[in-house]
Amino acid sequence: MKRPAFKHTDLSRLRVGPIHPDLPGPIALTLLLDGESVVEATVERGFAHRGLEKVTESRLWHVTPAYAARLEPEASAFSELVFCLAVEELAYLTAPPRAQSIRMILCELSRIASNLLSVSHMARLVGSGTFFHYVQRDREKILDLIELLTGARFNLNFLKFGGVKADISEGFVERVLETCEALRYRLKEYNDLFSYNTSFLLRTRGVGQISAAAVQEFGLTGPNAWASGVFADSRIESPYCGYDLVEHQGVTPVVTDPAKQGDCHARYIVRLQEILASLEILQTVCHHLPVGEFARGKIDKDFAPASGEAYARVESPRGLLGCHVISTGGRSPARTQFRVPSMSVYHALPHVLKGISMEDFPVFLASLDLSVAELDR
Amino acid sequence: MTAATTEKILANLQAALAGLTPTRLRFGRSGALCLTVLDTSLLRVARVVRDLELAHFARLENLSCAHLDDQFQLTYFLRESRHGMATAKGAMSAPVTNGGAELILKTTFKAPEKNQQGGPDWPSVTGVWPEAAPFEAEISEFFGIRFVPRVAGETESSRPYVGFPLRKDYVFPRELLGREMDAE
Repeated sequence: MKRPAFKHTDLSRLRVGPIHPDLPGPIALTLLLDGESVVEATVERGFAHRGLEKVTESRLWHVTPAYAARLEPEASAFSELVFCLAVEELAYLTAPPRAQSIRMILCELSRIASNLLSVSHMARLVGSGTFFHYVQRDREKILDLIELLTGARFNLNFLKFGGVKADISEGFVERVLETCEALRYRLKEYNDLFSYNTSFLLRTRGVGQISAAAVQEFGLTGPNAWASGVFADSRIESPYCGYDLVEHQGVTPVVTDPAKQGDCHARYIVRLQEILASLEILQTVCHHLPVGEFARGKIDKDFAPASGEAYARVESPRGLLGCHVISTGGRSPARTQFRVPSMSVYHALPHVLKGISMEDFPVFLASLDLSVAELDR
Repeated sequence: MTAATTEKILANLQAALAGLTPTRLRFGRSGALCLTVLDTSLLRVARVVRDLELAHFARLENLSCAHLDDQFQLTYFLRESRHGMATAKGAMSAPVTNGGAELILKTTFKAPEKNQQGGPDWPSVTGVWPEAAPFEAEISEFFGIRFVPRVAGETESSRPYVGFPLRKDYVFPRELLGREMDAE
């Protein structure tokens, strides 16, 4: 395993952040260093907290999905969806099959865009500008599709209780299928150009390994857990939006060598595999798109679910995203709570940073795909 | 989870918690098994459900807190952990934790009168589910509930006390609002 031995020099303290180009957002790390290696780390957050959960308590029900969308602007479809699913359960509403398929298409497109962003960050941090631009170019095509469907590229505000705000436009399905086919070839190109490039392997193989035991101890989910051999996928575990009707294999971590399991490279590969899985889902859904209405029920300022509570979960690009909503029968939610996957990553950081060399620090952080927007919600 | 499995798990729990039967509640439309527990029995129930013979609820998926009327409500969302389970693609190297039953534990206790500094103490479940630590830290910060014993490594906030913003009686300072919150 590539990891520098401790030199037992005088320890030095380095504070990184809250604003720093290597960080995924405003968090502050205090690192105790022995030479180039991290001996101890503490993490602080809350520099850009927005109070989203509190805000929903003073907004009318029908406008709250717009606030939920702000949870993570890069993947807002998931936070909107999980919130809508919880409220629909409270209000005894069910989205029609066509709306569920449109939601699934939107989620998978967002998942691809998010995973492409993550791998492009890793490429930028190891100095591969060419690959970074290739990936960003392809991500633009996915964002174009999202824009065609929703009218926005980020902070979509497209879902509503009981369905979606608009039907798909003519020719959309054909464009999705065309882009899926093109991206399949791109994935092969990514592997030829970058994934198994010697210099990239040297920077990522055996670096920042997270064991399966650590994954379970810290509650990591999504690609970070899959890369370590711990598999839990909400789309299979508790299917929503008709995922149970789609042949979805999920991602199987490819790394069988324990010495390489859960390292930065495994996390990178899992994200590429996840893109491939999303392409398969998209192709299936687009070929079997149900006909019919795209929304159900009258959702206006008088909408108020009966007193009760509900919990929904979806698989976001970073892992398990949950939402607990409580209604007291009033005009606003009594409580909205999000279970965000980045919280577990944040919790694990002081532990997993130990032993990391400073030269590996940026790429290691990028491989974890931590979202500060989710943390400081 | 089928109704039969739920009943089996409930019977198993009742046998393991002799003399300490938690009350079963309805939770939304999900049909998930939801139980209310008292503060004095929380840790005992937690250990029992984690080590239950029929289903090991070893994963704490979420811990949510709400301030409703004059009560705090803590909800523990648990998931059964299955090791060595195969995925659709075939056998995988353990541990694999896909699938499994759900269990919700709910507990309520009286909230302090006002938005006071130094809220009530509550037993921490990090000894049973280590992944509860970040949830408990966040609840401490936003609701003022102190979880005891404190988690190693958890630091006191360096910022001065300004209240617990997710409590219902918290009043936001005007300069933070920017606009009237009930404008709609």
